[in-house]
Amino acid sequence: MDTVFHNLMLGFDVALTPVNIMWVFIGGLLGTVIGMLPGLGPATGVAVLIPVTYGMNPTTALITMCAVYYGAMFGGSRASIMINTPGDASAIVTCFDGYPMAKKGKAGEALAISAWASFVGGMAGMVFLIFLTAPVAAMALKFGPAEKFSLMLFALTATITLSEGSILKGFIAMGLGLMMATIGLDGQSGASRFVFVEDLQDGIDFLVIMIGFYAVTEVFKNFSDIDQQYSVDAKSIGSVSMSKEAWRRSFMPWLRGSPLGFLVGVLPGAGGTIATFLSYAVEKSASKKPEEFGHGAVEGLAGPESANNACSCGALVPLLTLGIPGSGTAAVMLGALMMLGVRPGPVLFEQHPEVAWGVIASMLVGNIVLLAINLPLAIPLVQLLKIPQRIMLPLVLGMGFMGTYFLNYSSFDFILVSVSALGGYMLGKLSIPIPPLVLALILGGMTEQSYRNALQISNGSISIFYEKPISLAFLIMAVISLVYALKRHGKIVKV
Amino acid sequence: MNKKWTLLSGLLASVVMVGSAGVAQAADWKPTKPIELIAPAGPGGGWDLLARSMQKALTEEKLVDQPVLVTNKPGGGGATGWNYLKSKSGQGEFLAMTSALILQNNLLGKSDLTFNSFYPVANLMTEWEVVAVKADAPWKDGKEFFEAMKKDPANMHIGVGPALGNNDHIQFLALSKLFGADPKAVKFVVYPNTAAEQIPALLGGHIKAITISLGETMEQVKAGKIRILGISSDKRIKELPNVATWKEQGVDFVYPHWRGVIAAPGLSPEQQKFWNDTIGKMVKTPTWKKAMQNLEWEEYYQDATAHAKFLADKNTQMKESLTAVGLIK
Amino acid sequence: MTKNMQSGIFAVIIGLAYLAGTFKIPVFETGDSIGPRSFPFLIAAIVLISGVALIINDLRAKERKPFSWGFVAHSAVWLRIAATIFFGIAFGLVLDTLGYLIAMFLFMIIITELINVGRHKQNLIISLAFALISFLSFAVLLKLSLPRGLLGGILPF
Repeated sequence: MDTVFHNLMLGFDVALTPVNIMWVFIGGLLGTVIGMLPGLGPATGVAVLIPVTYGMNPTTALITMCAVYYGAMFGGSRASIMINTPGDASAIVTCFDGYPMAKKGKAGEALAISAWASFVGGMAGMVFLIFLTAPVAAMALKFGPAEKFSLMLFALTATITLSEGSILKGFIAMGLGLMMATIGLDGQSGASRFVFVEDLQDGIDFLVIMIGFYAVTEVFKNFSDIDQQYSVDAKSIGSVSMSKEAWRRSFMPWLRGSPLGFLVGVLPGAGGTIATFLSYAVEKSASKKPEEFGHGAVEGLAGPESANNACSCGALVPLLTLGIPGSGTAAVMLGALMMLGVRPGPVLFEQHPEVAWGVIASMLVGNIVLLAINLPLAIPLVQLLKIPQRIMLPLVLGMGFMGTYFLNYSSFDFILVSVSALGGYMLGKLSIPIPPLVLALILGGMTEQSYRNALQISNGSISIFYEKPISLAFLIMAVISLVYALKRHGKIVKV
Repeated sequence: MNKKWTLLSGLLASVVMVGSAGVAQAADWKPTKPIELIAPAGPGGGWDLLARSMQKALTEEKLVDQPVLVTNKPGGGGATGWNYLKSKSGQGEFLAMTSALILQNNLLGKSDLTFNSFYPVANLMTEWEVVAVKADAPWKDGKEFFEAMKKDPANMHIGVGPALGNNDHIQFLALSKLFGADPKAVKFVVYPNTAAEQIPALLGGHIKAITISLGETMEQVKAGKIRILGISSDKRIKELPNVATWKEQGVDFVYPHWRGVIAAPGLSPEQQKFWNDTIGKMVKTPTWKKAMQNLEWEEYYQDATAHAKFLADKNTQMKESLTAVGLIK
Repeated sequence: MTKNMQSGIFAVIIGLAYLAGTFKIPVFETGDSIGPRSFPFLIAAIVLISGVALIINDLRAKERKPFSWGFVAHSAVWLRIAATIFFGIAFGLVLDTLGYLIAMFLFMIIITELINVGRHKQNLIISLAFALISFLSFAVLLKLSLPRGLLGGILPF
């Protein structure tokens, strides 16, 4: 325990130099802005910084990149709340309740709730990172393909049961998402599956579909009332603070979301999407008023936001303990650091504790800086609501297409984004829920790969899924969530 | 639809080529617009880092007067980026990163493009391939490991990523054959996120060994968590003096995981000379040496003539080994 | 037809098409005992069962509200959607040739004219500003690669 504090003090010595504080600020601001734009996530943010870091001292470079990374986590949810366009996959859930709140004229409050929840999640995540890294990393190693498959199955069923209306439609949506995920070259055997045109060989990038389903579909929905503004009265726009009730209702979601997010973040390859969807499911089932979810429930915003930021701290555990990147962003960070001659990993802690702990301390500082950036940022942001729809909609479309191009630098994706927007619009008309589809598309590849890896390891026996205790626990939870939802809906026919 | 556009841009390019050819012959050729280095992959991977190292060395050492941009064109195991380069026929401002994958894609029938669809400028660097096991595993070298494999192939799962048919996979197939195990009986477990999943899976005991590039395992080796059974280099490497090469272990297997650079097809001799000279100068600069050192990559420079011969040899060699293990019929 | 009926039929059609596609997946012998078809079969089964159940459900329901897409009643909305999709795809097809600046400007001017009807001057300014600002900030300042196209040789940056 003493050594932790000693190390942390050493870290603060490094983190609190003026140069490093300045870079935390610049990185955080850049990250927030980049995170806000659809298609531009933390990975792009870190990538554009690589040339800037060439001349830097490696510690400063690492600190700056981390600031961009969690800056983008804060920023990703801004666009979800304001224009229903998640900046990143982990900001999808923020749309569920954040955007309805904005439509009701509480955009400022929604932004504040999300900023505070991100802050709490980030701080809690850092504390977990400092004290729990070793045991948690050991636990994560136990997590094999069977456990991973069962976790994904649980996340998928939990999302189906969340969606309003018929559970059968939820299953259809999930199936559609999984179908899209199987398009492309099969990594295991190299077989090409459902490739109608050559451009589909690499599969469908879920971020493209996400931009189509959320940003562009939202524009289509608004085509019917182009000349209206949001029905927001000018007075409430200005309020960017949280009401007492919002504070009270945020507290428990923070307590649940942060540890959940951190744990999911540590697991190899799970990531912010699962963390946020699971946190949303937890909040909805814990709530006494589940009917408020999807219409601007504070809990539905606060829980997932804290989970997301705690998750991004958790994702650093494999990078710091094993020197292997836990996410796409971490991979880009690793590449940039290697060019500077620094390799994160266990050796870094032993040989250069000032670098490793300097970064950890800077992230604590960074969280405070980002809260300080994001709370005032809400004031100009909410003014965007005053822009009339007929001007806002073309801008959203322009940003959506621009973001699409940045994802893969492929103009074929423009076809995908346009077609998926139409699909999203029509599915919405049929009341087929979008969240299970998007989640299934994101997780589909990993779900299938872990299913096949598990069976490969067990030499074909499905007992591997129920003989491993962690895996069994997730399967039981998946069944419980289904039974619970069936009971609540009560409409299902005994087939 | 796609074909039409390629045709159109090809036509356009040839017009430009005819136009610029006259100018180029008058004097030594020099790039006249921004230089694009194409990394046929996303940011963060080997090709991207190589392109960015080149960008850094070319600009900081003032070897070119035009700005140098890195363009990421991921997809198709490199094919997307190389197709893009091919569409720039005759234009000397476009270079792309390449590796053995360009040969493999072609041999495995995934792509029509191969090394002689382009002008190979140079080979730049290499990494070596290894087979690694957990530090407390009972096997000390390749022989012991493959003996165990022969006895019980069903319980010797090997982690490979991101997909079957890559360098790592081929190394293992070739080794099993050379050590006398049946390559077709090997149980591969595929990890699309490569080292990020392979190493935890190995440390967690879900698989018995991984076949992977040395660089990805360095941290764990230094931390004493995993052991390397053998390396595909021709001689022992500086950082790991205790690791024996496959050659020393009695199998004739040297297998570099090299990366080089190619230029668009249809370049004039002046354009070819410009890049051959410039890259030749670049690899001698301190900026370049430092970048290679930081990335823990071994320099593996071959000029255009040497590289072209190397590629032709490798292609024949690879065709044989892929046929031997049954990946091509 | 009701919404549920249409959804059910849609699911069954997609499920069958997907199932047919599954049989076309080539199977290699690479020591892969599970194979590339197994998971798609499961997916097809889920979608087909859900679709059929939805149809049966609907046939037994007491209250059945017909659902209309409103292609006629809301033709203006559908026309705008169709136009957006058409020009979105066209944008992609001309992007590499024309370059980002020109293509984005053209796309924006069409879209603004489509939505912000009749205000030509305003639309011109918005489109020009959007194309320029986004190009300058991403391609020039942040050095992300955007196609330069026709203007490639002329651009001063």
